[in-house]
Amino acid sequence: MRMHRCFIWVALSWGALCTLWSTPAAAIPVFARVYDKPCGACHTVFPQLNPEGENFRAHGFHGLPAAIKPLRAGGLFDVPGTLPLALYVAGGEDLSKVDVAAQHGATRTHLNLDFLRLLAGGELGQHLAFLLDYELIETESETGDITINNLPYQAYVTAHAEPGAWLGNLRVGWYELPLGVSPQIHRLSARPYLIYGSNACTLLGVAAPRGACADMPTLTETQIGMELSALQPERGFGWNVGFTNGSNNRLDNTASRDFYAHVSQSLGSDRLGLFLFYSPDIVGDGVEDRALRIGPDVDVYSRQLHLLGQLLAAYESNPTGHLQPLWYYGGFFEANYRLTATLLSLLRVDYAWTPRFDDRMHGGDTHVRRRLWEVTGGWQWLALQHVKMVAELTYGESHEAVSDSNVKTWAGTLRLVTAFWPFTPLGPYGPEQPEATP
Amino acid sequence: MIRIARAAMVGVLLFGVSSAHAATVEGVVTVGGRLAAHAVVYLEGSGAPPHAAAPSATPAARVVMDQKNLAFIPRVLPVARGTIVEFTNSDDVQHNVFSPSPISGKFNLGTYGPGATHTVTLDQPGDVRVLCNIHMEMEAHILVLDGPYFATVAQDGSYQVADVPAGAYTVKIWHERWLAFTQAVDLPANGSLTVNIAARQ
Repeated sequence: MRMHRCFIWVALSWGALCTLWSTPAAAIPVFARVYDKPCGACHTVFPQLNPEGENFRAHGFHGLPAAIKPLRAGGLFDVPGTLPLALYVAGGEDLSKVDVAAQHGATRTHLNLDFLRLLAGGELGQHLAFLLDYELIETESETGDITINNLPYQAYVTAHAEPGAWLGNLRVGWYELPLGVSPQIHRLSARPYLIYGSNACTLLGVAAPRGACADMPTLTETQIGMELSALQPERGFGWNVGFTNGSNNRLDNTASRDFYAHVSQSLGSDRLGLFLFYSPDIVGDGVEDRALRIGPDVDVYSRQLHLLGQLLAAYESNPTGHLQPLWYYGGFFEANYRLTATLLSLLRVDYAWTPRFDDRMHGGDTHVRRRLWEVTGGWQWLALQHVKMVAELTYGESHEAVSDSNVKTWAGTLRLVTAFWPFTPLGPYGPEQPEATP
Repeated sequence: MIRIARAAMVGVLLFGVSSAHAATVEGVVTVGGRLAAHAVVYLEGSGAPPHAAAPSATPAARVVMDQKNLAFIPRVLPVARGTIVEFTNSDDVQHNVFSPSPISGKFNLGTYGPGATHTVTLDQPGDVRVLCNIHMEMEAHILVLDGPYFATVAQDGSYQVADVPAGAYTVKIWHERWLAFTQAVDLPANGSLTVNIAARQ
């Protein structure tokens, strides 16, 4: 335990020192360094994107003049003119308290290195670009257990073209599904979205009939797949379609053949969308287990107030192995309010519920009707453009009506988040020097 | 910057009354004992012709407010009533230009990319707050004035209002966060008058 705390302190101290001692050009992450732009050019408060960040992504990470010119590798292929890397660290003090039924649980607090991630990205020529988000270390906030990952959380190559009035992208690799709100990578709050992380297995509180709960469709996780997307900027109409193998960011769970689509219509900087996910065979073993997720999303953006919402209806055809299907529903509504350019407040309500599920007539023993809700509030303060303090508190309840049991949860965090790169070499790398005039 | 200054000078010349007998009002602005910038000094009074007195054939003045490095440049821009303001985008990224100020009709010029220019004509006097809907830190103020005699306070706190005809005037200062300041002056036909201003927040 002492070693664990010591390790976290060393990591956080190292991050703080690197952040403070790095030169400005090296301190900010990959794209900001390559394009010589402040983080605020494309982010509201990092990692959340603003409309310009969305626009840059819709252009396949192209369109900005590079301050650090790429190195020509031949043909249409270039490589970034600097090491396109950054480290992304979050850590701090976490608090959690769980009251089961009428019994008050103990309040636990612990210093927690939430994650240490390696970010990389950049153009690979006129039409290609890549993005890598490798979560090297993450810790479980409830237990403090450290996990060292051997797979990237996100890693893909994207090809971009602009036929007619469209911006088209084809991407292949690990990536987040195109939901209304980024479930993790660009999510602003420390607290995950309840409905994106839910599936029948977690809501019913039963073991999955074949495989583990983690094998079931979870929208929070990145998937291995291929996606085609297009956006018509003039009309604001966009769509994404793709296939995944249902890996949930793993390599031992790739037997599914899932389909998804997202359509959206923008009006100025506001957007309305509809997401669809369908898996004809979740585990991929031919046994009946279909899954569906469908629902609208909304994004109303202004410089001061940003509203985000998602509703989802979800269906799993055989969640307990007794051919008794389950529909469940949920969503969230989030408001981000910029008090100043560097101080943001956040409020979110998450909700998920299942109607009564009873498979006892079909040979099972599951009888559940669950309702979950959470309220999350907090502040984020940008101390520097790439350093922020997060204070967040969540209260939630999980009520199971059949047994009339109620679990109340408090969770809070006070954390420091920063992204930087301390090792930018000098010499031929670095910002381009102005050309001498004759 | 040269283009902006030139446009502002043209505006002053177009609206001003050419006079062989013109004076200059100049001075230094301080706030809390320190030299101050991002403020506007302007003159109101008997010698300043109202907007309606301007010849109808006079073309409207055009001035530029640029967007560069995620900032409006200049941050404070005084203009005469009826001026056309050009919002250029000299940045590499998209910007949006809008104003929530009622006196400007709460205009929204939309979101546009590098190299593009959108314009707005400002007909009503007052403070027009200009914002970018994408970038929270971008904010500017356009002070629309009835008369042509005004100057932006420089970084060193100095200002100079030139070519002002003789007469009785009130020197005023505007800043987004300062209290109003007024001082009555009698301007001679020639020469200069120094009015140092100690503003209060």
